Amino acid sequence: MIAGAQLDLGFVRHGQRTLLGRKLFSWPFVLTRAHHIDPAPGHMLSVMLQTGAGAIHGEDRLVQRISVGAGAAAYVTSQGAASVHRAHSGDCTEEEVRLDVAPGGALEYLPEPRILFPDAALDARVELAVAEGGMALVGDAFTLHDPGGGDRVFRSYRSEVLVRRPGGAPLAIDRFAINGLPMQVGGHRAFGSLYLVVDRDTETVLRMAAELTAALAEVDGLYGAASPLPAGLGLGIRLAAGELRALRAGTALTWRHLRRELFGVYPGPRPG
Amino acid sequence: MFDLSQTLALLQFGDSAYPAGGFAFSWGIEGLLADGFVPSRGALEALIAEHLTFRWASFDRVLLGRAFRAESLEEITEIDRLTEALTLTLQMREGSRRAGKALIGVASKLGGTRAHAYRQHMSGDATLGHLTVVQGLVYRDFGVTLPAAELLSGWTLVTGLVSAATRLGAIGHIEAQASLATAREVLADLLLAPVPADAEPQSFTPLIDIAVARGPARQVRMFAT
Repeated sequence: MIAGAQLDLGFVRHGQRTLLGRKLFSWPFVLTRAHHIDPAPGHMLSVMLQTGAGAIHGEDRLVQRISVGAGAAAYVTSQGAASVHRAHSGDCTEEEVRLDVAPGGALEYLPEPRILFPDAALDARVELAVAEGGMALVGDAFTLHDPGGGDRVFRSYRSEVLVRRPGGAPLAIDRFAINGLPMQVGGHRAFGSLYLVVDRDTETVLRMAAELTAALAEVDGLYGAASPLPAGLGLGIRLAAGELRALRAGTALTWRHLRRELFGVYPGPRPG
Repeated sequence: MFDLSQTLALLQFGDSAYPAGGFAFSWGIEGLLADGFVPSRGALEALIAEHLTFRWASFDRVLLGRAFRAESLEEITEIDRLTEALTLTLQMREGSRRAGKALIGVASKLGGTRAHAYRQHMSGDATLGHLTVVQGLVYRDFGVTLPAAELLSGWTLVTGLVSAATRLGAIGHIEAQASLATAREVLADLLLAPVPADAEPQSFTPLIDIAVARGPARQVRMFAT
């Protein structure tokens, strides 16, 4: 386990199956049973993460590490949206996720969105390293919720996603630090980004961006688009919606669309 | 009392007639108009304020300052590469580089020494030449102070956005002047707050990013971004 990591998973290829060669977790993370449920890639192992605490609190510092070995394939999601509660003055919730994908490996890391409560303070960082020949689809999303029914917002939210080749400098960086939302034109309150790292030529990536953008336009209540990432890494996808339902629909469409594009078939059915 | 020399430089470089290539870009205005998110002048002004607050002040201004202070071509190149990595939307990257290359081309022809050297240095790398980086080195070339360079960068963005809205028929010429006056106040407030020494470039403009990325899907468009 890396220093301070409460969750450390290592997926490895063993014959016709992907297995969890390393499975270390401690409070608040809980790991449920893993499943092979996808037609393609047939060896993909699906894992659902739970947090025993049920929510993220002001003083929490959560560290995850997930690595996918050569030829292995993993789908990782979480049980439900993670509520990020109020942080006392001076406190800041910290989340750090490190994802490593080896050549021939495939990782889909699609946790449920965060729900930021009034006065939440969150500093979240995702480091994604994908070797040439590896593939990763990583999602990151949030919305706001004021239990009082008002317009109170989080105190601060810093998010940083770094995408690199192993050992190299970041080739794509998605970073924001906000203490409120920008203009309310369209009334958007739920936002998401997905990052697809995959080896494809420029023409193919442009076609994929155009097709996915067209598909996203069909989702009710969603404003979204895909665009080629810097350095030929793959695709970046932005989603915005008035509420979480439409954002989830956009994320699911993106995942299903790209699975079919990259592996030829849609994902297998997930437990409801 | 204002500095006469700096003021005249601002008037020249901030003039819409200065050939800096900005007229091909709406930076999301065209897309957001087409998608129905700018139904009024008030919405346009909110959008301009978003551009300034959630992107220009925290992203362009930070990178411009770094480029302005950079002492070597290698340092400028590093800042340019960082700008590329931080700009996730293809059309924004392409637009930024096109505008930057136009600006550095003019500056080089007008005798800007750093501009000339960096233009040659970056010629073999298509990912270099981002506008905000070029603004930093070009304005220093011409003796503009950093605060004045920041003002120029912010103001040329504002005039570009308002000009795009006018050319797209969203507002008339009189309304455009009113929108410029509103944006002027937003920009002035932002410029009064100094950039922290440890500021890291960042932005949060999801709607603008989406509108620009949807550009190629539109059958008719006037602007590259």
